[in-house]
Amino acid sequence: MVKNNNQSTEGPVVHAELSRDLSLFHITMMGLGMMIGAGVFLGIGNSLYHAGPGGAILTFALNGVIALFTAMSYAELSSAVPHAGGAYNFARIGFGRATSFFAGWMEWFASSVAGSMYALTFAIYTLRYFEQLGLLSWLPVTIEAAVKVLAVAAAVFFILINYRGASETGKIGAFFTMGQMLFLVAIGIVGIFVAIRDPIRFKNFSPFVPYGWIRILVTMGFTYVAFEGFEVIAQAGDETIEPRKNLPKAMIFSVYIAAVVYVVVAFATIVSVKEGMPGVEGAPWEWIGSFKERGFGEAVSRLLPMGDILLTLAVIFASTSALNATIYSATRASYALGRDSMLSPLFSRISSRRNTPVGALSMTGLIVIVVAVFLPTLHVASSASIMFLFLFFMVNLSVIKIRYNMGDELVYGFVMPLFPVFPLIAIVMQAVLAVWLVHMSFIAWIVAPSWILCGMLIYLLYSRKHAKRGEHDIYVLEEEEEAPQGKEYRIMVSLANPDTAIPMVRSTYRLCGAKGAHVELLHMVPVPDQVPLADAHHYMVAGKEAMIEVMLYLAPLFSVSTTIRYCRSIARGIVSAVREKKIDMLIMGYRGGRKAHGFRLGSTVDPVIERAPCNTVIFKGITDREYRRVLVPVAGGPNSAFALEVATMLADSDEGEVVVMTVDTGGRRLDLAQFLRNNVGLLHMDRVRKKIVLSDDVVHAIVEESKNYDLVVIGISNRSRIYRMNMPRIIADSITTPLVMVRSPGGVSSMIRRFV
Amino acid sequence: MIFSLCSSTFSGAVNRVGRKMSIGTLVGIAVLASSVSLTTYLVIWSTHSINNINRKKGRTLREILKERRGEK
Repeated sequence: MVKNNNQSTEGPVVHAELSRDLSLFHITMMGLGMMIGAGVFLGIGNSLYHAGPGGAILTFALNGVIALFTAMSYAELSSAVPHAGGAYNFARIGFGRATSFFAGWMEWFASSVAGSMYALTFAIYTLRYFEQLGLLSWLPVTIEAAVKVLAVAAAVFFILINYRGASETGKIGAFFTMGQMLFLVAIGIVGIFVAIRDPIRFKNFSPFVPYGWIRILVTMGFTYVAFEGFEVIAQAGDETIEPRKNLPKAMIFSVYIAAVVYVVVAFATIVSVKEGMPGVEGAPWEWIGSFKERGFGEAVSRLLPMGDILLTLAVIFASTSALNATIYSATRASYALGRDSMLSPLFSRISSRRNTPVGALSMTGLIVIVVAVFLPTLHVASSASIMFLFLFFMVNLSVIKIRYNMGDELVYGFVMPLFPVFPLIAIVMQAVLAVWLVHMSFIAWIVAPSWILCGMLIYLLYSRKHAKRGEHDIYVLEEEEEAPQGKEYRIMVSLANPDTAIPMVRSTYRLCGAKGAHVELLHMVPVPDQVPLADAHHYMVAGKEAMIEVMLYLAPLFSVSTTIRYCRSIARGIVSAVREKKIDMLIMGYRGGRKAHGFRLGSTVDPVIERAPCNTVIFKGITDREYRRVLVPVAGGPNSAFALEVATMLADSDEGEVVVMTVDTGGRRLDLAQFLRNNVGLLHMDRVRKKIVLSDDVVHAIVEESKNYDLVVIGISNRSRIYRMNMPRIIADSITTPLVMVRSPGGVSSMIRRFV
Repeated sequence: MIFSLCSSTFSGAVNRVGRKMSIGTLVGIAVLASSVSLTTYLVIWSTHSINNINRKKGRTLREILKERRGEK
């Protein structure tokens, strides 16, 4: 956890934190998601065409080595300066503002052009599938034109998605990437199996490098874009758990996994056809290479059963998720330039409606669309590669400069061996690959230097005069104190809505009193993906005032601490705060109303119920009144006992009565007397009654019965039948009585959910 | 049985193709094997190093390099 030292945290008591909830697994998958977007799909066919079968495999293997050297530079720098910014930030620390401007400028273009490439990949493979089905004969334009139109449509769609602030990065994106990885691994395994069963396919590797070894340098430069994922990992520095340890690991792991998968997939592609197969003309590698960027698809569709549709789906998932990720990565880069006044204030403009950086997003979208429309696919991929080569060149220089100049001032989580051998090799090799790329795409060598030249002019004419100076050049982060070690009971109250904060906290009064707890007040401030969490103070609005008000209310009686946290997802932020602060009970509110698609109680409450490793208490419609009659519907499930305990704590201590009710539907019946005897140790009052209601409809019976009570307390569990049948939602929406839903942690499935 | 089937198939494949391998192919396979071995070694070494350094929540460059040289 880090504290933001530079931001607006006025007042002595409320401090702001950044929420760290991305684990090693998630950031590794984020990196892989960026890598496995298009480079491998477009690259294999082109590599076969230009370098032959052995050349194609060596292209990916040797690129993996060079990328690993660069990943080690990124890893060392990210471990020493573990917060968002990536190359832009490293260049600023190492060389100052001018170089950091060019790093940001190149990163913006590189990510945008990579976005164009992913949009084109999506369009090429989607239309290829429909063309094979014979569904495109009606098209009034050529396939090439249709590819451009579809690529622009995809780009516009994801620009709008980014404008809305939705993103599949982080945890959900990790599962998409896992799916893509599994598909590629499956291709590799099938390819190896087929080759072993039919050894004649090894002849496809002859001649191994038909056009000479030097041609491999050309294809290496062209496919280098397939290893560009560690920049996005560096960008996640503010959101990663244990960043000094996990950032370097994720960078190194993602490059290694990608390199191995690419080599195996390239092998499988080459052996997927053999001489003499129907439709295969000439040597198999020549036949695959003749399709160029579509070669991978043509070959693999003959390797797997239902290969066409599986391949198309895999490419659609891979390219669209990478397109989405590159758009927000490019938006972040240009937003950072605007924020630091290196570009026009237009770039740092935040949409008042969606809270997303609309200026930076619009300009990024413009580049993505213009490049996709006006450049052929080969030149788009080459331009993206060349720009990433320049960017990584700069990062390798930065790691040397920073180690020599500031090594003793920084705390490292990783230090590369044999320094500075690896960054120097990477610098030389990246320069060679960039130069050799001219043989693949002369246009890329016009586009990339032109962009840098434009950057120089803008820097000289605008940025140099306007850029913010000095004090924030190195953004200082402070490690959080150790997590609490004491044994006192800790209750966290998550305040989402400042207007209802006081009524909710009044109702928690009794719970805190009964437990003699330390109270932790938490307000989560969601920040769109396109904005670094370090800039999140723009989004903190009314939350701080409400926190102070609530704290003043509770402070005379309880030990209270308060935290405002910036996060990407409120649910993930709450769960990570619960873990870090070793909370025993979490209390939060539930508004009800419109149902989010795919969720039972809502997109915030559901993940918290599933993953929070503590008792959870959810209030709905809570008021300031005393609760004299409290209803506890039980079915003997895992949370019934906890519901009863909470009910006895909330009920008025003098006149309160708790009624434990079970609905007898004629099936298996709960023995209420036994249930109460088992839980007598939990009860904080004597006035507990039992009641059995006969009914076929459990929900209707509870709703009807609730009309006679001041409060209903019900146990919910994601494991129980009740939860799966959506009863809590129906009950919560149907009854007008104040409702408390409770859940205690436990069970193997909960543990698995918490882990992922 | 499965192992013997696999090994006989694989050795058959190698025998069949291996006899005709050119120098270029052999060099290519050697380069491929070297690059895979190097990356694997570096990844294992780096992981071990990261775990070791972060046992104390990160350390200064001087401390890390001293330890690598075996100084106390």
